[in-house]
Amino acid sequence: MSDTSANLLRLDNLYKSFGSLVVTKDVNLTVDRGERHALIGPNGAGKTSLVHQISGQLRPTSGRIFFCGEDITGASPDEIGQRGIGRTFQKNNLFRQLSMRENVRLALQAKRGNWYSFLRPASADRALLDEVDAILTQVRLADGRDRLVANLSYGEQRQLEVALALASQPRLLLLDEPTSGMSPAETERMIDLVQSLPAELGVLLIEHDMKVVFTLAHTITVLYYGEVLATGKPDAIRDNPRVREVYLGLGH
Amino acid sequence: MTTGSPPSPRTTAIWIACIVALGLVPLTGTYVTGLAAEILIFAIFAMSLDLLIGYTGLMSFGHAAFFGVSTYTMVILGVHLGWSGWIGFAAGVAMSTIAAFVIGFFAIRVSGIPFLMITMAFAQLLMSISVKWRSVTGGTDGLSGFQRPTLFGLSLENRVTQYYVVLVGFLLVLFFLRRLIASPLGSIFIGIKENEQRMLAAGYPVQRFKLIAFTLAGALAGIGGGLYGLHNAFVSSDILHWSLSGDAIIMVILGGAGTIIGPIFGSAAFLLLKNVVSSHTHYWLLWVGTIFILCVMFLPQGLWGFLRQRFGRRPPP
Repeated sequence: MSDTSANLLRLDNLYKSFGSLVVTKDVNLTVDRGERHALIGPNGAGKTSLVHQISGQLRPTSGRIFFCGEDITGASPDEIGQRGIGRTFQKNNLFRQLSMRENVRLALQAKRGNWYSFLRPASADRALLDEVDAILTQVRLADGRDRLVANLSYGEQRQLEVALALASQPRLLLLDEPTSGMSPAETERMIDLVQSLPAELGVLLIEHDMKVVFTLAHTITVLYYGEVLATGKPDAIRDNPRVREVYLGLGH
Repeated sequence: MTTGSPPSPRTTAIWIACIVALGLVPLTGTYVTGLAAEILIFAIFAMSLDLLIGYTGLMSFGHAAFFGVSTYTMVILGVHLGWSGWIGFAAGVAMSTIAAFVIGFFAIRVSGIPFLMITMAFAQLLMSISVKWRSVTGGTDGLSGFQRPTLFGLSLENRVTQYYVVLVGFLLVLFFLRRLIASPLGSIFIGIKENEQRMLAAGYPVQRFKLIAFTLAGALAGIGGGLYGLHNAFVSSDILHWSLSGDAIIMVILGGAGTIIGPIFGSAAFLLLKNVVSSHTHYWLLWVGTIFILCVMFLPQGLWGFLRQRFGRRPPP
């Protein structure tokens, strides 16, 4: 099963339509171990729909999704999470009435098991809490870890999104617009954070900010009306006339 | 959710004072003791429902089913087969647990209003069985003649013995729920209520845990129902009526959903209103309704949430 030459993620002719609206049209795409792959395209290009299909929220109409060489097409979101695909959401999607620590602890516990323990307090698991703190440090959330999420700043919530995805100890991380709505300083911090992620982790990144894309990405795929317009190294994408025409714009 | 830190001496003192006070209730006479037993029984019922409404985010409108199945099982086994109330109690809780598992299995497939309707429909189904199957259940007239069991030679016909049995059951359920909510399993229930989609993405099989919560809540409601059987020695189809499920929802929200203590306050407030106001006017439900509306408008966190905000410095026990 563990064919080391296989791609971490491979999409084979993925196709998804809602009635006559086609949001994903024959998409082929691969992400390898350690690759930072950016997915760009204008609004409505089908980027988030693609992430939803990979993470199991949406079922593709046809085509296959392979993760570590195994077919995961149509698997449920929790099964896909257990297999090692972690994701963040475009809009912050956290446990708002729980503390920062408890948010990460829940995500970590999903991987660690001990789910059915019902008489010992969850807080008695010191080792787990130490790991929680290590993850929060990793995403640069240092202070006030017992604050409720509802009381965090927007940027902090964005960072916590990444913490939750990392807590599920993924081999592939799907980042859906991690810097959307962030200030330039917060964006810098997010770039720094993604660069500091483990080298063997594969990352599929949806992003509108071209500075972020060209700083981080090894490979860029451009989606346009659900279709792959181009895939390649950042320089090739930058110089691609079609891409410049439909997306990057000549003024950029 | 800061849980598990050892309770402060002040908190421990308050707990001990409350338990001692509950232990002294029988000194006040038979009427108050009987009322207190009823409050504690419905507190168990409301706490079990709060596990669904307040902690797992499942708005069940058929919780009376699991209360009633237990009472019926106990009284039917006692009256028709002459089984001891204690065996009947165990059988009742077991039947409630099974009923909750089966009903939950179908109900958790949907959420929101459809979930509410399905749980209510199942409860109504059980009620029509209890109404129609007169030879066994006594129908709307009910089934009397249940012989209460004895405990260490003390008869449960005695109000005081009854009360202490109820109190022990109440304390066991209370401390079980406190443990549960602070545990890893409890944290999963809370996570589902907070954000089901995120729980799925993290890798939790959410449906399985909803079913566990539903079954557990049914089992705890069954303990309440069994104690109710010991307390009343009578059962009729009223116990499965949807209005009892509604009463439990009112108790939970009135007292404070998503807290352990809230539903106890809710049960006490509801039953005191019922007993005090109904001795003055037939329209006592009007007052309950008015107070409920005012509570929802002005005390959205319930009585306990309000008291805690007002006087408490610490996170909820």
